Amino acid sequence: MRKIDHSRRQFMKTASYAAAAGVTASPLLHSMRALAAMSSHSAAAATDYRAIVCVYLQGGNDGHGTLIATDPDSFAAFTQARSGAEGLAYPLSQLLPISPVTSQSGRTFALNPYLGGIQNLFNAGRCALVANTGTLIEPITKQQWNSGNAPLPRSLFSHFDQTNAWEAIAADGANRGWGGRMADLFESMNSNASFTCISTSGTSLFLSGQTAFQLRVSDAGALQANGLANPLFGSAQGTAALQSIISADSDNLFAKEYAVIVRRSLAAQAALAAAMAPAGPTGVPNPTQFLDPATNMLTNNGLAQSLQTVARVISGRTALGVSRQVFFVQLGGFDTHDTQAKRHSTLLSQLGAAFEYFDQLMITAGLSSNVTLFTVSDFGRTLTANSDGTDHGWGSHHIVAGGGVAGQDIYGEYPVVGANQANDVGAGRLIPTTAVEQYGGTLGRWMGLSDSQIREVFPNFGNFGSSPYLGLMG
Amino acid sequence: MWTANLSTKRQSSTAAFCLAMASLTITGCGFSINEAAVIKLSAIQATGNNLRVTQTMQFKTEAPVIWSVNGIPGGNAEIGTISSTGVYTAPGIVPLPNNQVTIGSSAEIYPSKGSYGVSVLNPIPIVTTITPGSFSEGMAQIVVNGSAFVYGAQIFWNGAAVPTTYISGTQLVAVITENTPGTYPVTVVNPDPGSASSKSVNALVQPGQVVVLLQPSETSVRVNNTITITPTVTGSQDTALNWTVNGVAGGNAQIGTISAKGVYTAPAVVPNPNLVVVQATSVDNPNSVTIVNVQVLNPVPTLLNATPSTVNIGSSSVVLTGGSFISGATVLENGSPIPTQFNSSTQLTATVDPAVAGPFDLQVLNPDPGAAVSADVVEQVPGTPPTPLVLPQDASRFLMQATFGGSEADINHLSTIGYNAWFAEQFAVPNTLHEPYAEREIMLNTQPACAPTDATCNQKLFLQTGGDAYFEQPFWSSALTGKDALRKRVQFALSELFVISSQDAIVGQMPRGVANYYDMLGNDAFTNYRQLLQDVTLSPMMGIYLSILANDKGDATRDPDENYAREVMQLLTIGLNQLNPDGTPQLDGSGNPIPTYGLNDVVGMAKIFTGFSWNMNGNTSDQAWSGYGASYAGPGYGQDLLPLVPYPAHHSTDEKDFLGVTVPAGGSDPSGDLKVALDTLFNHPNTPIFVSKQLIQHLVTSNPSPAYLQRVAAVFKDNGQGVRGDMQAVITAILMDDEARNTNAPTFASPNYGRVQEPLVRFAHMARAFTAESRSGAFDVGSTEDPAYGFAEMASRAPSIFNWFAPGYIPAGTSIEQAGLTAPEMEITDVTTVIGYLNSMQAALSGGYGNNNDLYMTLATETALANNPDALLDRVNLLLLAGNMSSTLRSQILAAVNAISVPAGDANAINQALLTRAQTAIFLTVASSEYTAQH
Repeated sequence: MRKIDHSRRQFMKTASYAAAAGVTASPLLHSMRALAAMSSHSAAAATDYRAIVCVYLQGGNDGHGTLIATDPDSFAAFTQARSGAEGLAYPLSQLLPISPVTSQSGRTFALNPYLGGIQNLFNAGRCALVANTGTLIEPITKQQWNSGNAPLPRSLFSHFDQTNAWEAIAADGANRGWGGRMADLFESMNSNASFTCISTSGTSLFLSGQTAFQLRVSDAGALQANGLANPLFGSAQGTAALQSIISADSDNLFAKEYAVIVRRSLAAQAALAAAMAPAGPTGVPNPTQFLDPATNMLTNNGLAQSLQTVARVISGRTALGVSRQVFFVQLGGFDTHDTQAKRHSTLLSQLGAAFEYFDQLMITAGLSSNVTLFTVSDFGRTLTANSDGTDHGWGSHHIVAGGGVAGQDIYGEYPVVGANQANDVGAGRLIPTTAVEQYGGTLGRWMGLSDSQIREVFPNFGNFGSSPYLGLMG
Repeated sequence: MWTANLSTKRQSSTAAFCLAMASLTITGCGFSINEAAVIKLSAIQATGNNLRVTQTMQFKTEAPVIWSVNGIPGGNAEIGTISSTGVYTAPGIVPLPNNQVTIGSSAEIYPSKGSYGVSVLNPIPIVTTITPGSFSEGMAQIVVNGSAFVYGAQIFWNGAAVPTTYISGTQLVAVITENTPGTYPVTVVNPDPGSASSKSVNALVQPGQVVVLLQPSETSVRVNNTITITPTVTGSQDTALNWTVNGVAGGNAQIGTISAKGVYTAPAVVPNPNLVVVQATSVDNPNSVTIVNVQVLNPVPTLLNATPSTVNIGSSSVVLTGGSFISGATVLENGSPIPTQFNSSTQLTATVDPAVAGPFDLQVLNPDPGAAVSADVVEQVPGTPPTPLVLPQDASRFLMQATFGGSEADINHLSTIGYNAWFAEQFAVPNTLHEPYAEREIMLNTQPACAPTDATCNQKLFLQTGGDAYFEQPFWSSALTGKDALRKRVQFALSELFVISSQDAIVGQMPRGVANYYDMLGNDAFTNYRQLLQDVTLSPMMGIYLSILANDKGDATRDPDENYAREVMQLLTIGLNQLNPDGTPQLDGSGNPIPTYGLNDVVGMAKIFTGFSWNMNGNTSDQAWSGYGASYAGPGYGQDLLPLVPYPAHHSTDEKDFLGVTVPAGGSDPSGDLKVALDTLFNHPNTPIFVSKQLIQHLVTSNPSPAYLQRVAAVFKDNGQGVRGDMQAVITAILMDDEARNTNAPTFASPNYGRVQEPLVRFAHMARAFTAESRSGAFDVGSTEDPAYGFAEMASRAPSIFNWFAPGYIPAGTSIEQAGLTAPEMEITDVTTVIGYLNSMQAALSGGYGNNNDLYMTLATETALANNPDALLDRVNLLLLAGNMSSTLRSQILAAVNAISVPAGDANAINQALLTRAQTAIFLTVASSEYTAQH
């Protein structure tokens, strides 16, 4: 495992303030430093609470266009591969340079032009990138791929299966996600296990555990049935009947399980409604709109709103009796087979702004070191473009953000850019060099799971070396 | 390097020695040490007291010193660094909380320190461009681009500060209101410390028109009702408007009136023509005129009773009383029109002709415009009713599977004529279309209308924002009132399989195309699956959604788009795994499923789907390929409607290998290649099984027995006349199979049988059962996709090609999972959506549901029964639960109903209590899992 030179890291973090050209204080850095100056001792007083927030980029985010190697050879190959599609061969001057602490074969790097928020967090040391991560059964080489002998995840390049593979990671065809499996192991740390897994975006495989179940919380908060909150059509007996009827068990399995969800909702509602901070100036401040580059209009940031809901639940952690939580939020639209230039610019602008917003919320709450955001996606995409977009790939680069992250660095191995290189199985589809197990396992360790527990959650963990953990979380 | 003030070098070094000695309290040297002179050695000289971020300042002392900043030798990046030569570099960001730093000097050879306070200031902002650089007078959002913007920076427009949104160090946004044309300087001022202004950049405000924008709450309204037309006036300080209806100031009683605030009140009788023109003219600029077309519709009839209430078999006359009857109204007997005489707005005489003993339904149908049906009154023919061809409860249950749900009239009709006749009727009823409605609304709302030959005008219509209602309204209208009930339900199921979605940014701007696509599914629902594949593949909407459209052949820098190639296999035909005839997966030697296709098949098939693009009337130039000139072009014509056409120059001529088939390299034959690909998929042994299973899951049960699936798949494979893919045969086979129909079958009794009913269908069922009506006539329910305030799904709005829920979804940690079953609809069943469902259903039963509570139910028939709670429950049970309500549920609901006491005396109070009983009975039924889960 790579030894981290903390003193050098600290120096590099702060040195970059002056080094980064043209960087002036964002509102978030501004507030952060003001707050830090005022409350520099409060972090030490934070309770032992940890949470990970899975940000699922639905459709397959184009990693090649997210984190770009800008040394002359790499960049020439990138430009060449992307020149077939309008707007994807970004000029160097538009990219946002970053200086990772660890050398990746001496190459230079930059972020997509629309990831200003991520660049700020990276430079502040609270964000890192994990290169060429994806689904594997065990590490494979291109020769093995060509020979057809390698054990591979099922249905590579298929959205549905790869989303499942990213989120489940257990035995093939399993119905459990590693977020949920971790939650199974955390439940004993929470006095109320019900609130361990929270989704803002519907039911996710990621949060499905053996015993842990997930609660879907909408931006509207913990919804209450009007007929229970108020006399049903003016009648208290009506309300009593409603309560009894919707909670009733049934022999028919579909009716039965529907009622299970209803009972769960009723049981959680009061506690959640009381614990969640309100949205707005009296609670968790509302996110600002973001400037959509495709329309040049200020637009609502749905991802930021989802993260606001997450922050509202987090603020109620003491009342909810949780010290470990796993969250799931989703941003859709990343399957950019066409009009990628426009669609991706909108999505990444949204993502960067949302990550910065959440970073500020956590700092204000004194929880920056306690909560970590991380992206997942079905897969990466091809390096070679079609006429205005890219197609399904495999390995991709992901973003991890939070005060606990050993930031300002790229973990894993950034691939050689170009056709026919060692990881390219065609058109720039990358054989991952870091497995989802390693990515998730590192986060799980940070959350406090033991090594044997990690191997329980990720049965294939041992396939990735004697110490598969990344240095991502310090 | 230091500049010495001492006169001699020898004296200084001696002085240094003596000072060192002095520090050791050794006295005597022969010199008197001048303290002031010593201090002066480390005294700092500087050129100023402040500097901006990243700037440098040279500090000097007379002696060599160690420089520090805030006590830190050399400083650091946060507070600034200082070199050994005294050059201080301010940090990139003003240090917080204190922007003043202290430069320290510590003399190297004697303990003398100096200090100097310096303030670090924000940078001077730089403005490079303004986007847009010019705009019409009125309001506009401008983006100020530049650099060195600090949070708190303010944009100044013509010297006045405007509310500024900070985006980044290089972008600020403000909304400017400027009503006078001219050139205006824009500057940016950074906040303190060191607040400074940028140089100015000019923005141009051009003379603009006064623009009046009208946003009506609805564009149709029933007689005597009102709608609000909200005006927005830009380009003028004077927002006053003159309103007319059909040119008459303020309108009148015949054509309706309009108030100064834009409230239009429809007249008491539909005028002829029923389209009125509401016009708003700007007082400031009378040339600025905007109109809204409003359709005035007939009222919804109310039916109170029919006399006599008992008639014999054969023809007899019945007098119906109620209100809002319109000349041309028709009475419906079990849903079918009978001879009707219009007596007055409160009375009709009709000739009924029941053929059998027992009950039958009467309703009143008011004619177009805005045709609407009343609640029903139940008539009786004395005697023993014959055994119906289908028992009412079986008919109700059938209609729950085959349609969006049945009303009493629908149930009676099916009971009377039987399944065979019902299917024959339903296969013959024409497809209720959506595109003509969308078409008409777009043209009515486009002012001024586009002349058919005006290419520019029509091109602008091609992409429209905010047009979702043009599909949503006819969707609800046809789902809730369409006579082609079977087709409507199958069409909806097909739309969840052949998914396009207006959540896609481009598809979302083509509402007419979405409506047309949906109509195509409805047309093809009763033809052949091969036809469906063909029409979906060449639909411009699917072309956009799954990127077939303008998919170019590959070359050195680019490969064909694989999107459709993959999804047509995975989702629409063969699925992921080889299947046995009964739907179980085939297994290899190691017990693993066998994939149907691999990456190479996708790559090969992707080449097939190249070279198809917009139908531009025979023009196959590169411009046509890119859609240049694509336009709306008027009724029933436009590139959003016409199937894609082949462009041979853009079609791959490579060899194409997929699924064991090889299309040889050679000449370009897009249509021929497409036929090979779609035929291959259609004829694949998986397709009958894969498709049949999903249709069964949507209509009947999530987990058909292998035998059931095999029976239906066999019909798909061969309808009995050698035809493969016969949709009518497959639909009939699904719905008429013993496993669907027989409530005595062992499969029916199993706890594994059935499915969670989709929330949208649960809502539609209730609306159909109780004859929901639209206040505006437009069925303006909107999209029901909100999980907290809606039904968590909506037609043609799915989040992805995988619809709202996946066919193979297994809810984790449930008895369903333990039993090895799937429950697709459970994927949208979570702690939020179950409450959203309850609240939305309750709202629909109270004031109404949708925009302006447009959809409502009078519940007149149920209210009339509510004095007899058992009769009320019987009716609700039949309509909603097919007579299968458990005794537990029934007694719970009865208790709640009986707890609502009916007062004596005041008719309104009585009616209110009876209505409340009806609402309670219905709501408690739809809330129970006996309703949310269907079996």
